[in-house]
Amino acid sequence: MDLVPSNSKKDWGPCFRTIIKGVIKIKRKWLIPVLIGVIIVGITAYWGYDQYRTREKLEIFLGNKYQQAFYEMVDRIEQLQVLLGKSLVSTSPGKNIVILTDIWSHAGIAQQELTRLPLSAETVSRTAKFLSQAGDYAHVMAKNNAEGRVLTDENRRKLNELRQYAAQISESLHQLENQVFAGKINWVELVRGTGYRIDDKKPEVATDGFNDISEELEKFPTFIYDGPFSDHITSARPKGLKGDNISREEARNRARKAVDFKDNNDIEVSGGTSVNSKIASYNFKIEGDNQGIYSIDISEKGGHLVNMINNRSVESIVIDPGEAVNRAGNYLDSLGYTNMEPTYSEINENVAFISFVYKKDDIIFYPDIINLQVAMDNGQVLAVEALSYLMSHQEREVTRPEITREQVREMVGNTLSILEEIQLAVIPQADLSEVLTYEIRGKIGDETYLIYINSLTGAEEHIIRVIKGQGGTFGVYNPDVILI
Amino acid sequence: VRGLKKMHKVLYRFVILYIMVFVILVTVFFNTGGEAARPALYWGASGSNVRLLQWKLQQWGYYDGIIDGIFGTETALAVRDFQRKNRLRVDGIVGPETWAALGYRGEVVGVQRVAAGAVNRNDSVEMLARLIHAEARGEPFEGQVAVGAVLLNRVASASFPNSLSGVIYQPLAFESVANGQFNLPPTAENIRAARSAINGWDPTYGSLFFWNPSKPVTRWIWSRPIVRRIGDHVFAL
Repeated sequence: MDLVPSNSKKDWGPCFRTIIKGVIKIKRKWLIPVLIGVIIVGITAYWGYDQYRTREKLEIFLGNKYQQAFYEMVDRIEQLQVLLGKSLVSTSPGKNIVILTDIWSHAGIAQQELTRLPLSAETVSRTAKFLSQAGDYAHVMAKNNAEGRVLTDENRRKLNELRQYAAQISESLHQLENQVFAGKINWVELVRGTGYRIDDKKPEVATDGFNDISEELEKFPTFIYDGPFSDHITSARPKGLKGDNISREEARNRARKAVDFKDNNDIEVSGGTSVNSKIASYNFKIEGDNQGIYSIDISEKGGHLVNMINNRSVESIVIDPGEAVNRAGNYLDSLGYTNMEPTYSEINENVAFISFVYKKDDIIFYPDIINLQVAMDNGQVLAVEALSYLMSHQEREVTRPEITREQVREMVGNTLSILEEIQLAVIPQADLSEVLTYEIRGKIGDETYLIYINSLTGAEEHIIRVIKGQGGTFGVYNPDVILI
Repeated sequence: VRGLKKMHKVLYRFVILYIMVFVILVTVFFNTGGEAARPALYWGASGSNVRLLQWKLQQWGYYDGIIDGIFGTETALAVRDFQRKNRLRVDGIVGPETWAALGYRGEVVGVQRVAAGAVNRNDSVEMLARLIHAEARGEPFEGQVAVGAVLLNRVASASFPNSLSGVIYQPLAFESVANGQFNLPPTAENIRAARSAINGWDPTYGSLFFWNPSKPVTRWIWSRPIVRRIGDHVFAL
């Protein structure tokens, strides 16, 4: 029993020493590689940590941007609701204009911030539409007020309806806001697209919140008024389709007639698929020798050429612009689009873009516009777009103007020098209605403007700035420069 | 002992190889931009970059003066000529676009381009063309015009942002914007498609959505009324 400790001491002593010696020996040989290894691991770890920190920083930054957009939106909708209430009680037209334009501004910003959140179109589009319409309606009302038309009972009823829905949205958003405060919504998660994760329910909170709002808004009735976001705009029916429905074969013949190939009569028409649009059409493809592939839409009703596109690239300019315009005009005549006047043209990438409008009894009808593309190397008509024309063209009863050209000249003569003869023009309004105006082309400094004055009331309907491009002129139909 | 020494040597080599690979990887990782930054050049500049520019312009037949590294009138005229032929902004300044057209990519420091007016239609064409390039590369021309038209239809729609940049940068709207492909320069065909769309061509008749039916999409999108199919894309209201 007492032998055991003395034995172990005797045996373990030298053995231990040899092991330590061995370790030192190995260590000396391995010192450099091990040291390098440690440094590499250190650098990698630091680099990784730095990457992690940078990512975290960017995520927080991004999250803050979204958070800001969300708070901004909630605030604007709150303001919108309050202002809609004020618009109901205010009776002074001057004050009303201020309130209504404020509504327009708040609704616009709310819509903008909403569409900056990382949510799908499916989730936000209904709410976005409501905000667009609310703002747009207020804008139209403000315009009416400025023209001396005060709010009617019907207008107030609509404003009240908008207010009730805005209040509901505001309420739902405040609930969502509480979730945001409680840290239950992580916007960055929505971007990362962790929709597959089952354990992490965070992203669904925001999506669900907006889906609930969309569901509420489904009860909001079809909203029709005279503004660009009114529901009647998207559901408009074509007025310009004349004649009976034609067969697919007949349409195929019309497509063959529409192509403008040079010295190439042996053409093959393929396709014939249906296009399920507001102008139901057949689509054909026609290919010629080195003359590009045409894609042509022929309407089922009336067999009109609605849309034609050819992708042939044009390498040079051979013909002059006047010839291109003439060729385009003759081409339209041959298709049965008669009385068309060229208005604007522009040459880009050796292709002339030319717009034609319908003209009758010295009145220009801008809603009836057809656009063409002509190749400047051989004058081939490459593309035609007659959708606007077919949507709006019809025989119209035009009321006689009550204001004379002389009066118009007096009205605008002080601000700009009139360049051409003043002519009558029917122009489309934002709500697709039409108004007969005097078109005045004038110059102030280096800039050319087109001014449209209502022929009945003398009100300025539109102001368009004309910009000269490299290869022609075009109008900048910018709603921002419309004067009320 | 000798065997241990040999092993040590092998290990040593291995470690050095590891370090080299590591250094290369890190370098590549941090410099994914590629080549070094090229400064913007304009009349009056001088140096090796000007020399490079003159050499390149001479090779392509735009410049027949001497390669002296001084950006003078002759070089400026050659640059303008080059820009005109390549449909770049003709300003005589060798900025990022011109460098890219000359075949040199990379960050450009210095001179900022000044926008040429309040209403810049060319900017819209460029933005639209980029999105067309990113979303509809390889599609028939009509399909490219169609994608441009969808963008413009969204701008006009109440349910979407009311500006072109708003529509393009709407989160989760376009994959190509999310993955950076949108930043690639468009081709001449893309630009013509964009111009056609801006000038009124709309083969989609007011569509607001398009998708590739062979790729996974949300089920909701199939509930939209489909107008037509062009190439690989389905267009719907």
